[in-house]
Amino acid sequence: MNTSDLQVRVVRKLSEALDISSFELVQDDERALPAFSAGSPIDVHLPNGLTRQYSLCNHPSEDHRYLIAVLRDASSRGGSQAMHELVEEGDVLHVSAPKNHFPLAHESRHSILLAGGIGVTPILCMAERLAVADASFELHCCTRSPERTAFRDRIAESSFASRVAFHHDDVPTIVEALAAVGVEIPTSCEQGVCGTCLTPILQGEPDHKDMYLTPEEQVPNDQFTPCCSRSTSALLVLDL
Amino acid sequence: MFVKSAWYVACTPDEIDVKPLGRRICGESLVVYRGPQGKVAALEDFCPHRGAPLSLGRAIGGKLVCGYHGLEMGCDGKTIAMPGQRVRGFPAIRAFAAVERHGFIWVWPGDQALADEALIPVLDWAENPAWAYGGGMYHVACDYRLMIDNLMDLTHETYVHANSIGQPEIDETPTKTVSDDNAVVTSRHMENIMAPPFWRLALRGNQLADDVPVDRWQICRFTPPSHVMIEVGVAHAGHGGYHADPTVKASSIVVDFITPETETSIWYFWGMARNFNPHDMALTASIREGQGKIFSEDLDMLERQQQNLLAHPQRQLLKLNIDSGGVQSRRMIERILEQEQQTAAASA
Repeated sequence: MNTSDLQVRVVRKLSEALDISSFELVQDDERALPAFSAGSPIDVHLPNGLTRQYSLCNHPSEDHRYLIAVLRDASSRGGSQAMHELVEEGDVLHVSAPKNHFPLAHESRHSILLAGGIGVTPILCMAERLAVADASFELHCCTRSPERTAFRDRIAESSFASRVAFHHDDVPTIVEALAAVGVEIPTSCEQGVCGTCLTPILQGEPDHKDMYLTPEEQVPNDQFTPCCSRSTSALLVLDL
Repeated sequence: MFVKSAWYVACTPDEIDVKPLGRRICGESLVVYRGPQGKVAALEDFCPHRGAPLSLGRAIGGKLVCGYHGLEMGCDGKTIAMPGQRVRGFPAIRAFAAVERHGFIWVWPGDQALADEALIPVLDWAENPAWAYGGGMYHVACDYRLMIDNLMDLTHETYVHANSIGQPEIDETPTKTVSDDNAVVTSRHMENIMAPPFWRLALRGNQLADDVPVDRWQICRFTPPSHVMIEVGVAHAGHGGYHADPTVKASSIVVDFITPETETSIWYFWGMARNFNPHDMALTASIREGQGKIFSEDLDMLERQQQNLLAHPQRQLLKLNIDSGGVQSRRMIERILEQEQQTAAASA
């Protein structure tokens, strides 16, 4: 078999989030696919003649399928658009064997995985690999908004859900939400560094995301930086 | 394009005696200064507070203090303190590997994790009391490779340096170029000629007659990324030339460390190491002065050549037999650049 060209069939096409679809690829005779390591991409030869690389995002121990996820990019040069519009369940695609230019550093004491947007695909695979190996890690998924976040359910149901933090751009900060109703809190750095917006808390539990307070100062939960920190309780009462 | 994973001469120690030095090297703006225990350090020349160049500040007790609002920077690129501020969340700036050795301060403009001190060139003359060294630095507005071409083809001496080291016998004597994985060597041996004025001074400096025929040699050795060491000398004719006994010759090593600043400018560290009369400080000074004058004669040529090349980027240049040293050196640089790009692509 020429591993540089595998013929696979799309057995499932799912919408994972706004403008993101996943494609499950298998070989017709259910033969095992070439093994891959966390973070590996494959080349996908598209119906319109283009070739694009997509990272595998299923668990590396699986050999019966390849799972890829593709963002429909408004500035696409034709690749992601073809995947979304031209590829349907039942279609046959030609793909390459996986190759890994982005290997996981296995020897780490603690791994911090940072995923931006659709870039979560190889990272998710790494998180699952680390979880199985019982390694120390944390995963930060940064996206524009919750509805544009792929695999939220899969992550929420995973064994490592507690080690994942989601960061979204379009959710107003507490400072912004207060400003919208006419309450101004002076800010400067807007990233939890300078302490300008430090505000006392009367009730509730803040989610500290700043670097201004020391970890010890954060423990009593009696003050926080509303420019970037959030709330873990449904109600947070501030002393303004 | 620059080889980034390599040691370059950033400056000489006297340049950071009084205050930090801001210097662009291979396109990276660096501040070089003395950190804790007087050890040299190099950082991105950019204060994380408001982007002021840290080189306008001062090194106080090993800390680099920004000259704008007093931020105190550590040699690892992490802010130590700032008046009235908590600095825990301040973003780090990039730190570069820096080492003081052989009378120079070396920096590695690439990934600090790859910097290996064992790769700094071994310079026997710099550590040996039987040798003396004098040199200087010029800023030249030309591509570093034009300077390598210049030093690997000394035919130009006859024309650019007609009154000091040039002589027609250079043009008339062919060169031989050999290269291996680590160096390109171009050599020329001239026999039974009269020494030009600079070499007459050197013969007198070694208490030798300067009005008798000599054998003269030039052995140019390029090593990556852009160092050229040239063994030069004259011996009274018929005593074996390059291999003649030290009592009948005046010889030295021309030292050239070429540090790219931008694609079209360099910091050119030039000098001469000699092993005759090493303790004669007056001789060191007069050789340094002579060499400084001679080497300044190249600057106008190189800068005007660079302007021509920029004005006519489509023009093809000739590569003649006399250019083979420079051509092979450029090939070696190309090969290393390709390797660096492959390594970078593989880890991207």
